[in-house]
Amino acid sequence: MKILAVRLAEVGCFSRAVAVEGLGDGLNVLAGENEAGKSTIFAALRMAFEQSHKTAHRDVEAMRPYSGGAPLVEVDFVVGGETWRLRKQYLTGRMAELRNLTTGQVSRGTDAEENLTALLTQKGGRPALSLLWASQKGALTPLPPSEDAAIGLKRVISAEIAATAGGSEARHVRVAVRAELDAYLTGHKPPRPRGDYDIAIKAKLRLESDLALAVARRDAALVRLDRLSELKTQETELCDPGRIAARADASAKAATAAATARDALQKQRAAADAVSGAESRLALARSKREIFEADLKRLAALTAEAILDQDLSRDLATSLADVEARVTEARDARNIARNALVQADCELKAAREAERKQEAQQRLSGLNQTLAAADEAIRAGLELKSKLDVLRVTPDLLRTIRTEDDAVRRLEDRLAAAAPRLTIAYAPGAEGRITQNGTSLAGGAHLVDRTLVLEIAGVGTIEIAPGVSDDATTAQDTLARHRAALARLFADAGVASLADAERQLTHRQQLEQEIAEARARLGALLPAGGLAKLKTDIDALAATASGNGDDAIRSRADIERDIDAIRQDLIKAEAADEAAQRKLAVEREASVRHAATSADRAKRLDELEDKLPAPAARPALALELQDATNVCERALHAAVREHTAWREQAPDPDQLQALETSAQRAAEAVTAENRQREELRRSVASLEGELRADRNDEVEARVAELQGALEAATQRLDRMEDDVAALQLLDSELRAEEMRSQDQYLRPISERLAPYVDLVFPGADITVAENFAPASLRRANDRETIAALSEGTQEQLAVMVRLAFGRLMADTGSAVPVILDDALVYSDDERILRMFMAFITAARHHQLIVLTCRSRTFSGLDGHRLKIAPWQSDAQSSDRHLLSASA
Amino acid sequence: MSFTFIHTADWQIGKPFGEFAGDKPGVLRQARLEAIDKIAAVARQRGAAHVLAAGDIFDFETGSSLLVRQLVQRLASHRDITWHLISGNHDPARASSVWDDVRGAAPPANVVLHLDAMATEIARGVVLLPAPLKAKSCVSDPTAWMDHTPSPEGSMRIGLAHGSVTGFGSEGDAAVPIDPTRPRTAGLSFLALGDWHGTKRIGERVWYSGTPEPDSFPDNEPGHVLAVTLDGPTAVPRVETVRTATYTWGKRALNVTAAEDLRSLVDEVTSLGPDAQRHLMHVAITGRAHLAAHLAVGRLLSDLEPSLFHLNADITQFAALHEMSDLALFGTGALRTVAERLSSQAGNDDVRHSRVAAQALLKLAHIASNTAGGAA
Repeated sequence: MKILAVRLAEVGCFSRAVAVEGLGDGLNVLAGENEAGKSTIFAALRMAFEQSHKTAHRDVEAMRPYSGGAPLVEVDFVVGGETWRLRKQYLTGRMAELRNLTTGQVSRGTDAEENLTALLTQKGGRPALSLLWASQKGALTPLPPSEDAAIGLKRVISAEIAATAGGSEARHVRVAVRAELDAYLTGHKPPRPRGDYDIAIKAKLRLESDLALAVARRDAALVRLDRLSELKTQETELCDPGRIAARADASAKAATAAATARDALQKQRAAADAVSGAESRLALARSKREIFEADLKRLAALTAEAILDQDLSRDLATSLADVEARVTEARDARNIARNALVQADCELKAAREAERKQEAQQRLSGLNQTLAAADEAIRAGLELKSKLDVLRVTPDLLRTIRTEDDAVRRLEDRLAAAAPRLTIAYAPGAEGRITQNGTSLAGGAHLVDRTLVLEIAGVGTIEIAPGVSDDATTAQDTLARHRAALARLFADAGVASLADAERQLTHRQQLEQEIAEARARLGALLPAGGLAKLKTDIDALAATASGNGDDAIRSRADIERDIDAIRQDLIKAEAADEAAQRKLAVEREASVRHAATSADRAKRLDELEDKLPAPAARPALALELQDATNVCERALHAAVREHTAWREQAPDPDQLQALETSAQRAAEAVTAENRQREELRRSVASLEGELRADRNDEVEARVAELQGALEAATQRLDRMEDDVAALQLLDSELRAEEMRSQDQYLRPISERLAPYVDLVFPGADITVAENFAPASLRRANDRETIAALSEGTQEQLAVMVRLAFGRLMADTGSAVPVILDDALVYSDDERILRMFMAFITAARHHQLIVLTCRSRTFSGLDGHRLKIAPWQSDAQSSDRHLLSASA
Repeated sequence: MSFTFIHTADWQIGKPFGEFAGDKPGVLRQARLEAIDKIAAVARQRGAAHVLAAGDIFDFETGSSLLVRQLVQRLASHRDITWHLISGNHDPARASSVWDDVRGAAPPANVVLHLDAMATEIARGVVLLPAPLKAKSCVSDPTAWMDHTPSPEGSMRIGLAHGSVTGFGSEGDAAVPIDPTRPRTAGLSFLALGDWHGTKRIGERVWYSGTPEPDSFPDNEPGHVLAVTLDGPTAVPRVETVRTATYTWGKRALNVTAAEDLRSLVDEVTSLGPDAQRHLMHVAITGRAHLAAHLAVGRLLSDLEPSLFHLNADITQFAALHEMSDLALFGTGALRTVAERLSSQAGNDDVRHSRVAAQALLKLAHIASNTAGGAA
């Protein structure tokens, strides 16, 4: 199919009839500004092919101009090698006419619509028209599967491949499988159970939970039953009347035995207490009697002692007076000795002071001698020092002199060696005739180191001069400098020659030796503090030696002997005094003690007299006390007999404890059994109550019921799980097969798409979904979904898919025009240029109509340039034009 | 003088039947209670005034008081019949068991509980020696005491016990040994036993009556009572087996290779007519059939199910063939490819995966056959 011309009247924005004429094979470009009506023209073209002239579809209504009217569309096209003109008017002026311009055959109205459908269907034109129509942004919208165009394309593809046979059945089966799976599982990832499957799972879980609870309840009930049986057995034993009576009788007997034993023991203890009381009373009576008798004895003894005590008091007074006299004597002797000793000590001190003064004078004399020797040594040293100060040659100065002297000698030797040597040898008789400066020269050799003028009398003069050279001149200059230096050194040292200097240095060293020796001697004489210390010591000793002090009358030894004697006397006197003092103290203490004893005795005598009755009443009291003692003794004997009797009857503590324990245990056993019976009855009642509840709930039946139900639920769930697994496997296999079929199914598209993709995206490949929409793009090993691509890339791919469709249709003999209505909105200039290459390629195979508002950009795109022009109603000229175009 | 009585056992009133869905459990429970009416009717027909029930009257020892009242009222309603009941291993007569409630329900004189091993003259010259169980199991023979229990000279001694008679393979679920020679050692005219749910003759004087109403798919013969007539202490008892079952539980095993192999089953069910609604059937199908036949068998079983009270079809051992002719049903397109892949996987060593793949193939065939223009 190929469009040749489109003409419109009373359509959309056009206020006048317009036409686009001259569409040709290959590429056709209509460039115009926005709202120029490009899209309207081709919407009307589409309407003419797809909408019946009788329709009032809203798309048709939308084509009515604002000013009203009936849209009229006329299309010239070629199908199957024949040229056709389709004219349709809609709404109020509805009509349809299909004219074969090749044969002149015309059909109108419904016939025209039917013929048009037959024409396009047979040739594959109409169904694909909308498919290949890419409107503004519309290229991005995938084709609905139910679209005629999509169906038509599928038919074309199916016709080209044979391998998809059976694919539709597989899809139907998969739909059914999915429906069954959907009844079991949700669409989540991973899927979740739902419906009966979910109910079955939950039912099984619930039954398992219920069964676990029921089993626990049943087990508890069975345990209760077992426990109840045990308790019943125990209850039977415990509630046996014989057992109860025997237990009570044993308890009563044990209690009686314990009570009897306890009473006997109490009586024994009372008897023991009575014995103890009687013993106490007897002891008291005896004590009273013994005290009375003792008081009488003491009274007698004290009275006798008082009589004797009077003589003793007199003796003590006499003795004390004697001792006091001896004490006075001893103290006087001691004082005398002490005074003598003090005098002797004074005398001894004076003797010692005299000795110290004499010793100081002797020592002072020695120090004065030392001081004189030191002064002499100092004086000698000063003399040596003054001699030394005159000598100016030092070892360093001597070394310098030696050096200079040596230099002078070596230079002189050198100059002498270089100087001419004159040897005068007089002929006999001629001695002395050669003179120099009037002085005769002796024979022998002479050095000539300067100009020498020899006079030989009668002969004349001979001038001899040494040779002149730089070296000699330099040596002489150097020699002069050294000689001058040597002269200065001699002057500084105060010597005339090196020998003098050597001697002076030797002298100097001798003087220094002597000074050192003088210093050593002085050091040996002086103390550590030097001369000043020596003088200080002399002054101190002089003061000591000149101090006051009488000379001693006696020698110190005599005095010391006297002192020793006096000390012996003093010791004796002090010992005698001390002995007398001790004796006095003893005597005094004895006197005091005696006085105290006498007083105490007198006091006790008074107390005893006060305590005792009058002497006349004392015998009666003695008799009374004896009678009381006898009564107590008899009472004690009676108590002892009573105690002995009970002791034989009473148990010992262990026996009583055993009896008490036995009685207590017997009583406790009775109590315990009573309590046990009560507890048993309560436990039995409690268990019976619980078991009644268990029975009412049929706990065992419940378990059996749940076990049966769980078994059935498990089987049902197992079947469902098998069913689900089978459906999932089946779905998976069907899906895999569908994918394989789809790959095969879409291959015709993919193969035709590849060249375009390679032009625009070199090296890339694109996949197409089942709905023919681009699915993904792989570039540089990265595959991206279409949604992830830019809008520009998306629209380019969508356009290329349309081109591939067009190519497929053309290749299968059903060529239809591909119409791109401003389909590249987001593409940049570079990509548009690549798309132009795709357009040019596509236009070699089918008609391609490109509408664009981007005139400048699309100016570089070759092809028929179309324009919107007024519709020339001259049918003849139009027909001619069409005929030539179809030819 | 002769004495006729009805020997029954294992009523197991209150059995829950939890494995059944819907109202079936209630129906089956009710049928066990109504069996009492049938037993009473048989007794009347046979002129028997006494019914001896050999234990397991209740399914559980923790049966509810409501259940007890239902039983007692139903027994009491048959005033002309004296019911002699002993406890079994399902309902041992221990403290606070279901029997306490029975006693508490004050049963009338025609309901006699024999819960202690004590000889009782139940009719002139007829002494009943009951051996009730007081525990779910016991190691000693509960009938041993009968050997040493005298009874008046010339009386007919009837033993009534619940347990397993060793040596004949009658092991029921009670761990209670009973010596089958007890009639000889204890001078019994008849020993009426319970526990074995099928009717079973152990000896001329020793019988299991079985349960009067079946409760499972058994290998024995449940659903009967015994009408026993004693013509004298030493005379051989005359025993008549009388059917009492309301519901029939049957097992069938079929080897199927084609749908036709189910014909006998279908005919059997068809021949039952309305009575099929009182039949429970367990059908175990084995064998291998072509895919189409397998589908047909499934459809037949589905059609058969509503005819019966209950159908339990076990087809786990019934496999479908995956031969070329079977796969040809899927044509040559995508479905065929899928079917071939599933067939291959069905031969997998992994049993589970193999089973799933086989089922998936069946599912594919089923869906494809239901799809318009489908292959199958």
